[in-house]
Amino acid sequence: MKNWSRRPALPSCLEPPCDGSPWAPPLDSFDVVVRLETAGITDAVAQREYGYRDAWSLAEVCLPWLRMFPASDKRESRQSALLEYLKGLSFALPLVICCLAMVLFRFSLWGGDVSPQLAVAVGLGTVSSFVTTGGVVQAMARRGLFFLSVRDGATGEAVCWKWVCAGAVWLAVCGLALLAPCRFYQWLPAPFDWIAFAFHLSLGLLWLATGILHMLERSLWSAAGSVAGIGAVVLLHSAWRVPLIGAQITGIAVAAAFAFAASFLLLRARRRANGGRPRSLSPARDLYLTWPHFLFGTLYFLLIFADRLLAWTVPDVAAASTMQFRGDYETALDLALIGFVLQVGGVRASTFTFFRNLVRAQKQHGIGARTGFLRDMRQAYARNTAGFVLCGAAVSACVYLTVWRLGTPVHEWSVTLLGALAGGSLTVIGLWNASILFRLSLPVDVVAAIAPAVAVDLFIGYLLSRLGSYQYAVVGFSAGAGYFAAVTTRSLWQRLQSLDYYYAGSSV
Amino acid sequence: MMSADLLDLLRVSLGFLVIFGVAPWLVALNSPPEARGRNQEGRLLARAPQGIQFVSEGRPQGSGYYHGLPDDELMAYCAAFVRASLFTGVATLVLGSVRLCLPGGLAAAYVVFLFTLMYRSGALRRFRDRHWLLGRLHTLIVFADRLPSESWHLRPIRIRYVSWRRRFDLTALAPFRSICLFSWLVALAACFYPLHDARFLHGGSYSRALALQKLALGQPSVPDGSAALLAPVMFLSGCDGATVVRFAGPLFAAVFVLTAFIVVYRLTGSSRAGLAGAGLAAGFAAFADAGQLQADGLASIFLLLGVLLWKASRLDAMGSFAVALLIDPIPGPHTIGYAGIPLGIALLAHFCRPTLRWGAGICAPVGLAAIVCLICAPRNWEKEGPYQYETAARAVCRITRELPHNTWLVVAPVQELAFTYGRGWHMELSEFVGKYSVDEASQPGFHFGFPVMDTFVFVEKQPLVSRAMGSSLSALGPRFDPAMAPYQVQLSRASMEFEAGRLLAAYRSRHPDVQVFVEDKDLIVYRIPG
Repeated sequence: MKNWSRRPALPSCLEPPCDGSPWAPPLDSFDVVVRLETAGITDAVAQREYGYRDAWSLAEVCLPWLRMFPASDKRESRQSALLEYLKGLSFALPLVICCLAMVLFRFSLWGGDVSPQLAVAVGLGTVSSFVTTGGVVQAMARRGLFFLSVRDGATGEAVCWKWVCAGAVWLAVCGLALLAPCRFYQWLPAPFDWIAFAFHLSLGLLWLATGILHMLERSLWSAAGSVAGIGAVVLLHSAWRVPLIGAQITGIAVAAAFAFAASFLLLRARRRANGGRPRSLSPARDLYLTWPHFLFGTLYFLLIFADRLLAWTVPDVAAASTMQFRGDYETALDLALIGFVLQVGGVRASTFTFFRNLVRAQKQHGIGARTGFLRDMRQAYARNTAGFVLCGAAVSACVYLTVWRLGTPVHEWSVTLLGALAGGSLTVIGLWNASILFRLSLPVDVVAAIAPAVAVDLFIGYLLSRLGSYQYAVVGFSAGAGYFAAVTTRSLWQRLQSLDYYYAGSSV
Repeated sequence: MMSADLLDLLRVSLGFLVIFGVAPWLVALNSPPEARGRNQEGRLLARAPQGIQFVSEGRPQGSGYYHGLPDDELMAYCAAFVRASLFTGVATLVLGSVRLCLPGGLAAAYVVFLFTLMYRSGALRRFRDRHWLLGRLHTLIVFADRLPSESWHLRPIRIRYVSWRRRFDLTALAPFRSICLFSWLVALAACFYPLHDARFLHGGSYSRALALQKLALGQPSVPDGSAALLAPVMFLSGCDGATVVRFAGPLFAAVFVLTAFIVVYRLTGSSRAGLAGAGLAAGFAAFADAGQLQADGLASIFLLLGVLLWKASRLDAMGSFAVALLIDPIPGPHTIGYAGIPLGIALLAHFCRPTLRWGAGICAPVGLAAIVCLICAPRNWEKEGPYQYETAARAVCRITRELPHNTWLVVAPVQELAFTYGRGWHMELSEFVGKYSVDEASQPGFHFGFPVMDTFVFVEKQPLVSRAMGSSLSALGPRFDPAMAPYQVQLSRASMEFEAGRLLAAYRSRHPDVQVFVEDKDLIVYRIPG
């Protein structure tokens, strides 16, 4: 039936997926052209890589061959919302492991019983590593996921490593750019500035590596990397008496190496499964497609950590250095983080449910009942948002009451805890909106919301922490998160008026 | 002179240049077109489009075109300097009154100020143009696409350099070359003293340094316009208040000399007369303040600029006078001298044109003499001070530099507080000798018990005798300062120092861990481990 010897070199994006996931043969050559262009095969690519005059010629040659493949059934995903929630939670697995290590050994991959100045150095390195790599990981995930979703594992792999290299360079440049004023203005006395730099570099590499694993939805590997890292710290510090900081930097490097090795194996497996060669990509195209994601990743972590930086830098004439670690502030934020993690798992589940309902509603209403479709989807969105609000309030109340019942001196930092819990819940709502906007290919809306939110965070946090106490810096975080949630909600609500248009647009 | 002093000078100079050079330049660039005069381009030192009528040497007024530094640009820059300084003074004092004069607060105020100016001048209009933004994004993308091509990357730089050279006419700077060199020499000569001595010559410098340090740490302090102007310099340089005050005086002296030149040059049209005026003004600064400009000298800069701008822009002139009043609310005789010399020369030249030739003849010797005076005057200063031994100032600088913050205590007269505030603890010697007795200190189990790692006690072997001191309170006259009074009366100081010496001798006899940190023929600094 098939003469494979005469078959043209089909682009991998046209072939039916190997795992039997939904696929239908093209209707006509127009359909093939759309599929080709969606995968980035333009006239120039068709000419250069496949030897045809343009994409149309390639499509016309491929069409008869593609019609020979049987359609695979379009099965509806059976994944439950609970499973998606657990998947959403899985990003926090390394964090849980670190907490367990802290309970068992009194130290972890980073942190432990260290002096306040050392704690500031470690904290500063940690924050800067998150802020610096956040954007790179987002951009890498955006491009990598695109190529992996069109079964172009070779290009996906190449893109990931390209972003990792760019991220490492960016990490070093930002680290040096931070180290220079740190030394000039003596924010941290030597050698603490170098310790902060070492943590910045090592943790940044770890985030880049785990970013690939999260993109590939292999959080267990990420957790295994954390275990390996903690194991190295325990071995070095407890058995070989290496100073804790040195052991931790080595442990983080081990965890990063483990995660990179796992990423290498997983990406290679994808490449081999999909076949093909990596395409050469234009940096300009990457820049154009990923700048909102890069900005979002950077600004998101800035929003999360700005209040900490403000609290640490409140002037104190009696302090030993310009930056001071605030143990009570940190404790409250760590407790609020539990509530945040529990809620943020719901973002993935809700987004999954929302888009599953969207597909169902499309089928149910058909093209003639647009108003009903939009009404249903707006109601679904409103229900989900209300659920986040209620869930946020409930989780926050539970965390607060649990802390209070455990007899912790909560009154000393109740403002911080309450502010952080409120800010965390509002951030989750903002993230829920952001995830839908990203899925609808509207990343600029997210950036337009989060950039002023960071400014609000900094402005209010700065004023309150300087005029009042450092504990009020958290109000800035709450206000910024509130702004982020409100603006993304408004933006998304407006877009939901024409959801069918944006959904169709995002599919192209 | 130590390498650390040179580094501090460099840091303060850079901060000073940014606040009093770059910030006014940005203000000038973003001022509305009418405020920039006829040159709509708004580029400083750019060649005038068709030449601007100007009073210049050898040419009668209005008879020709001056293809040099455009007059309007010069005035626009002076106005921008005044605006930037007024903003700095007011913003710092307002923020300081609510204890928000901190790096972040001040930086935000500057950003808001510059953005407001940009918005008013229409510079931000293009950012609202979607097509312009897309064009920039396109340029960025094309740049990223061609990034590996080095030649592409280098060509525009070369073109830009050539374009820059064409646009800027270096001959325009000809009349200013001499004054730029002279101002540079004045700054160097005036820096001679602070590079060699850490102590101040003027009592006011101690209080300014303390006020600046308090202001920058968000602590309540007495409003001081002269200190407020230096707060952004302090933040940018990363130095403490005492260091900024120490090196800002000479830098302001150079600004004052430049201002004097501009005033005389602008009013007479002769750059040589301007140089002579600047030389005389520098000489006066050497005799009046030993080249370390105080509040009156700073205020006179703005008084002169106010006079200069009066005809061009009343608003800017009033602003300039306002800055002068902020810095020195009650002008004294020095202010009159500082402002009077350049204005007097200008008036003399106005009424008697031959004096221009006379001025041209003496400018070089006057300038040279002024430089020599600026170097020598501080060494033979006979008006005030010193208020402390140089060894004491150096010792406290070493402590602040070498030891971790707030882990030490200095027991010394009040002058050392200006150096230690915000970096460590300070206890007045009078309180120390009043709190402990020799009998107590000689007990075997006695410890001072300060909650610090190290305590440094400054004891003068030879109690300081200087022009700042008096035999009695009434003898101090205008030098009387309630905070310093116990140290200004010779007998009181000697008795305190003697008592402190006895205390430490008794304590040391029972505690062999007490070390001598610094010692010379006049002073000994004990280090008591905590």
